[in-house]
Amino acid sequence: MPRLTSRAEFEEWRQSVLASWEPSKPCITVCGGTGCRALGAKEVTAALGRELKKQGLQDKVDLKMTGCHGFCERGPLVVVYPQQIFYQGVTAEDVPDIVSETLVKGNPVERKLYVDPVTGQPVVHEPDVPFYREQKRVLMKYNGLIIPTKIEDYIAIGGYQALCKALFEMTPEQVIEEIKRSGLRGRGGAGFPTGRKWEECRRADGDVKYVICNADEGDPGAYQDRSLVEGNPHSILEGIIIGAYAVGAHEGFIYIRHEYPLAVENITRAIEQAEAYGLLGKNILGSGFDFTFKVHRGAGAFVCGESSALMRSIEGYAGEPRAKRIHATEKGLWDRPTVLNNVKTWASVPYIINNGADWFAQMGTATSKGTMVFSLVGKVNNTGLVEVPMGATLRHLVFDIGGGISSGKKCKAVQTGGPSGGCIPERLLDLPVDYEALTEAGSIMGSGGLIVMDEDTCMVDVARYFLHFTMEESCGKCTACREGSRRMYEILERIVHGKGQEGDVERLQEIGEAMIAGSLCALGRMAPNPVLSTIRYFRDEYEAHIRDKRCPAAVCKDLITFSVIAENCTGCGVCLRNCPQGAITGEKKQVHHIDPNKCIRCGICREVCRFNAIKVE
Amino acid sequence: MVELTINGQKVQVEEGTTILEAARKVGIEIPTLCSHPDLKPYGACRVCVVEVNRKGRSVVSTSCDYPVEEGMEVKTDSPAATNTRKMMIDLLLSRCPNVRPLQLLAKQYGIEKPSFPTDHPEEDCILCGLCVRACDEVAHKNVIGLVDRSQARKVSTPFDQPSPECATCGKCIPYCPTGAIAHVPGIQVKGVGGLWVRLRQVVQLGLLALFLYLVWNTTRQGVEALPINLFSRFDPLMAFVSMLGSKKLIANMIPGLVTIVVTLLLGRVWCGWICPLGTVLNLYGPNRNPRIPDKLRQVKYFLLFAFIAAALLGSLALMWLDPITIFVRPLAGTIYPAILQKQAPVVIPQGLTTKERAAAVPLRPLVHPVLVIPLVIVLVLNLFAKRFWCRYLCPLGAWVAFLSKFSWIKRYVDKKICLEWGRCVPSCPMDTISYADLSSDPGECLMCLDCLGVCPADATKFGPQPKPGFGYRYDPSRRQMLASLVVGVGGAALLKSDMLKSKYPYQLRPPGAKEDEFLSRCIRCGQCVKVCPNNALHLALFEAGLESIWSPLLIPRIGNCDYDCNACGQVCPTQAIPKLSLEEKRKAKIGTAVVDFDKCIRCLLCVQKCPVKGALVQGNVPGRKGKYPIVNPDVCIGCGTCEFVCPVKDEAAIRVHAPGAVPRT
Repeated sequence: MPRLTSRAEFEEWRQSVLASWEPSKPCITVCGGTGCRALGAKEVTAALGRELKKQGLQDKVDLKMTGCHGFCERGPLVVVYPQQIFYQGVTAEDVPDIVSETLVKGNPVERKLYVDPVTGQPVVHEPDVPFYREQKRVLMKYNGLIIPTKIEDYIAIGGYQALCKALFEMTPEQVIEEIKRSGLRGRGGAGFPTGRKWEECRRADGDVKYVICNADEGDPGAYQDRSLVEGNPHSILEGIIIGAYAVGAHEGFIYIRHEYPLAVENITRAIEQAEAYGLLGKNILGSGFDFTFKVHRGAGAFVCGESSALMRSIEGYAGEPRAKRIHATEKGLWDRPTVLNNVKTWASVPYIINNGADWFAQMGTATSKGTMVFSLVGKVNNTGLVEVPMGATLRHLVFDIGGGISSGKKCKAVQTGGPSGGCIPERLLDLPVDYEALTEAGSIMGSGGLIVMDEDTCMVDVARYFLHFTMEESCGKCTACREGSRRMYEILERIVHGKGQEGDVERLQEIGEAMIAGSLCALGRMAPNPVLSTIRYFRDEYEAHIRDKRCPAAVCKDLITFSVIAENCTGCGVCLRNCPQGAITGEKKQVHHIDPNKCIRCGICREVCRFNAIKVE
Repeated sequence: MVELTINGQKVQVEEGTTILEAARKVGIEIPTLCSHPDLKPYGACRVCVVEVNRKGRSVVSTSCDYPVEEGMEVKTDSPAATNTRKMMIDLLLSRCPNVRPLQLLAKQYGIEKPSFPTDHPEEDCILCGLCVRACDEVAHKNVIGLVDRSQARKVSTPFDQPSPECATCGKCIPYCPTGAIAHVPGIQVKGVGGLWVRLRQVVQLGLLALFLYLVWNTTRQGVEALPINLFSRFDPLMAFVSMLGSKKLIANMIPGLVTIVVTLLLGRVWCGWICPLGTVLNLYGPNRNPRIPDKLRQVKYFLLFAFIAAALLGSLALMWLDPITIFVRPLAGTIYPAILQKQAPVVIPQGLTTKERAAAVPLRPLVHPVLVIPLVIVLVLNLFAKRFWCRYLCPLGAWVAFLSKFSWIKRYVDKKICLEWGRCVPSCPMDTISYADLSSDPGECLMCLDCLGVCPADATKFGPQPKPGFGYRYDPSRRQMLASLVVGVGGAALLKSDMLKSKYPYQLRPPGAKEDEFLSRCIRCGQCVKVCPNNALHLALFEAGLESIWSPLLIPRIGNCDYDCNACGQVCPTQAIPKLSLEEKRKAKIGTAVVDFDKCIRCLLCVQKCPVKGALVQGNVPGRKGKYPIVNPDVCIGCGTCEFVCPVKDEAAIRVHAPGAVPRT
């Protein structure tokens, strides 16, 4: 395929792609996200290919391995179009039935359908699954529909139309104005208005400017950026080219974790394809606009997700933040004006250009517009990636989309924003999720991690876990973060081991406040959030650990004891046989006993007991 | 120009100036550990935080990297800023508890101790990055960098491999605020005075070797050839006190006066360079021991005043506390014989009475523990603090310390080039360098130059300083001085009183010594004992009175004074035993022999052996039959040969009595 050198050529090519795109043609899609791949999606796809061939259907049915569908809990996922019949937990053995029943006869395979836990009824069609039904998918919309490595698929769903519109119908200022009007704010966590950022960069002096896509997603449990880069890399690329056009940059980078091999592969393929078609490089589509884009792989430092550290890293130095007295839009990468945005921010741009700022601005709350992709994980039934308009409540996310708490226990808290975020207690679940409300509650939007916790979660232990993460990931440049996080961690470690002292909570608050005030970058300023927010909402738990040497959630091993409830114990001996320490004694059909001195509190006895006879205090 | 307000004060500075620079311009000090005027701001230590109000919004922020803005309001000591700063200092101090600039800064903020556990008290790098920036911006080498992250962060070279660049460059060194730069691979922080220290060590060890050599050779044979009492004669305290005691200029002790003059010129060089005991004490022991109160230093002054007072009354009993005598006595009386084993273990002659046996307890050849005790105590105390003796107890030290307060050359620190690392503080074997301002007491400074040896910046100076060094907490007050003088006078009077005097009639002194004058001159060094060829001289314990402790006694029953020897008078540094020619010595009266005719068996061996013509002849005794030895008291010099050879068991039949104790016949 020769390079496209004008809008007309692009239009011609687009028409030819659309001509071969039959929405009514039967199509079977397998989720090719990292999660489903780990669960065996590749084998399922191969089996489907063989089966189709065997049945002689290979020309009548399209088989696609797409990006992440989002419902990762139930992978591998298979969806049969055009009916949108939704199968979950598919294995290679199920493939013959799916092909013969669904593709040939049009009937769903009952056993692989999703069963609604509330009604107990199987759900046939994908849009009817509550997990999908309650979402508003914009960025994730096409993830399950297209082959990420095929530019034609992206063209078929309207790809690069926004770029054409921007390049040929709009001036850079108009693009910026549109983005400003849309109310799009940075999806990396801080929520800086994107349009304003672009405008500042556009106005900055200098002819060399840069745009950067921050795909250094590092929060534990968050993977929405990865899924977007894996599943729909062209949408991000298109957004970036539009952004570069708007600010006047001719070079750009995507900073992406080396640990995301599939995402790296897909975005690299997308760049190659776009270059081949003249959508990247010199004189894009004959518009006179030049833009080259490179992949820069990060080596796994969490702090490199911080914009100034990220730029240091691209420059070739160790990733260390700098004081941002002057915005990156004036002096960023190599001291040139630079716009850096998160994956989701860039991915939103083509939709805004295509559908207009008003369409985007009608979604969300007064200050936070559009949709947000969350990764919903933890003690929730439906873990996965969910996209909802800004302002949806946490309760909606956890119970309507997430399907409630997996253990059947009460929800205790939701941790938002990753290790820099805070814990929001159950009583605040009706909080609308937007930048301001979350900050008000002591947490942050962050890049969209949502960790659901039930009553078996010890909040002190959670705070300790997250603090350990930020401590290890502190770059070590500034005293506040390096030494402060270490000291806070030491105190928390003491508390969970039953060596807490009176005044420890105050000490934690004192260090935390000094870190917030004194840290150089956001990593240090936000590191105390998990601790301070749990102290704010769960102070009694801290006090129970310190004063009573008791862990109310029965998590902290040094503060709990395992014992047998005599009334429930049948003397079956299962616990005795499974105890790795030989700490359980007892005759058959007699009440058993746990020796607290031998017990290492691993919890196996509780897991294996069928009579609920193990008590943990 | 930009106008802003700092602590309510309007300040006009050029655009691009930082808040820190603007504050300094108007004399408002903001503490900082990672900024330097030569280098670009870095913002790592977070100590320079201030509260900045911009357009009504207040934030706590670092001032070193914050460019001023029009209308900005800065408060350097608002509660928010101070609390944050205090926490940063506390955190850094907990990381590096022994870093001097941090300790001083922490003190300013009321932090006496780090609030958090300090697992690596030796850690001294605060990770300010000044050296790394100096390597980049000043040296243009980029050899060192900040490596690793979080708790593992450190300053190092690539792969921790020393770089040849570093060996010759060293530009980063003056930028390091703590001295941690010395741990970076390949960076050598050398003191500028290394050669001086080496020279001192050579001199010290050479003199110690000479001292040991001289003590070893303090024998009759060596007397003419070697200046064996050299160290005693240069002893400034000995010179001062013995002359004070005897109220005479002792020619032999003039070198000691030279030492006094040298001390007035150069300070305590005697202690730092010459004193053999000091050299030994310099070899081990911790330089710093916070558990020992500084006040203890005044003890040595009290001892000195007591010495002076006693000397004025003619008593030198306390001279056994002089460091030279402390060192010589056990060497001469215990260690030398033990090594030699010539006469050890000695059999005390059968003939001695019980009383004499007791008197002979401090037997020279026996490895006698009592002589060693003072030295052992001094050596053991050194385990608690290096030069414990010199710092707190030594009366000689106190004497030269007093003189050094007026010395012409003194140690001082050139604050303009001092890096404030405080390396000199722990290097000082006397621990006299103040942590707060790095100054030192010239009275405590031994001029050993160790501080010069470690000083990385040539800021430690030794030069003319007119001001005498007084005003230290441990300097004795006038009242304390008076009190110790009184104690000295009282003590000397008590020693001199008859109450403590011995009534023992056989208390013989070395030839030529006069009992009264002797005790005001004898410094109890024991060199005469060492040199006596016949084993006639012994150090007294209490048998000759308390004042006589460790002064030499002649015990003829153990050994007689050799008629052909005058060695003791030659080695006595203070001439307590006069320096007599052999002719003179042969006439010097030690005592008078008296015969117990009841016990005498008339063997006349004594008459046969008596070296003095006409002193002992055979003759008749009224009322007794046969020939008896007859003493001519006017001729007898009391050399004790007769007593020594007398074959009578236990107490000899002929005994030498002290000059004042000859019984009337």
